[in-house]
Amino acid sequence: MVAPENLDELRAAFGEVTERVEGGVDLVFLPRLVLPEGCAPREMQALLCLGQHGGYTTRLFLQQAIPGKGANWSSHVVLGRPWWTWSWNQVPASLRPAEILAEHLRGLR
Amino acid sequence: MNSEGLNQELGAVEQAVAIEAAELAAIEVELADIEQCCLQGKPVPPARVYRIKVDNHYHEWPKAHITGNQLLHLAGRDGQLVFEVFENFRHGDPELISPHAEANLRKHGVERFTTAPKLVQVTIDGKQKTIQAGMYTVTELKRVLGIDPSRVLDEVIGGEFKELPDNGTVHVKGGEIFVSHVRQGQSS
Repeated sequence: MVAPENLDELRAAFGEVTERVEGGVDLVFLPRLVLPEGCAPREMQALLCLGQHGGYTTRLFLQQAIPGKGANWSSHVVLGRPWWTWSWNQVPASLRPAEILAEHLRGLR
Repeated sequence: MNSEGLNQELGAVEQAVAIEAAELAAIEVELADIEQCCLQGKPVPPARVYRIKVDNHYHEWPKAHITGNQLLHLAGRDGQLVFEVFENFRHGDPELISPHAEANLRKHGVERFTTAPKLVQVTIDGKQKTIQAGMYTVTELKRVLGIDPSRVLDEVIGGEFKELPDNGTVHVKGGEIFVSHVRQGQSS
């Protein structure tokens, strides 16, 4: 379960966000995430995975892959729908969700 | 400029000259010390120069009115960080003078002027923090926010995380959201 104060921090930045759980791993659904400059499109739905997934400590899933950004994009079905993510690892699950998100977004700059 | 605009401008200049002339004609003393007038309970007479106290330093001012910005300049508080200026009365609470508002130096009961940092609230790592408004280098902002210099500081603007380089600057007005983090993620 995501700590309420951590969800509040994300809500202050992104408006409504929703906590989900799959396979015992906490996830946060972001209905509108603005991606770093140079990404196209700039806005999309995202799913922040706060625990282990496929050998990665944490992950950021996006609605679609971003051409020219990140590397080794792969598609995964999470919460019953397809998502895209790139190869970006070593962001610990011990961080606050906002920190985890910031570190994953750094991988798209 | 058309003739109507020119006439309006001339009218404004004439009005300003008339006010200045009336003030000069009404001068009763060379110097009026507003603090002394206040302490003695006397009205401040029309004067050529007004002696005012700003943050415990005395200044002479050649007009009966002074703006908040001019007071801040006299106090040396017109730098990168934002200060507010107050007029303090012998009796009663201090009143804020906004930067472009004019204080009347002949207003009865004004003893002195004081300045204080303009404090605003920002959010850092999910917690509210009160800091002084103004322009900061990112390095200085990290220090003020109590963030380790080695951490990366992002500002969240309109749902976007914007990384703030240490050699950059940030204009803090209040309500900003900052997130700090350690560079740990890497391509695998």
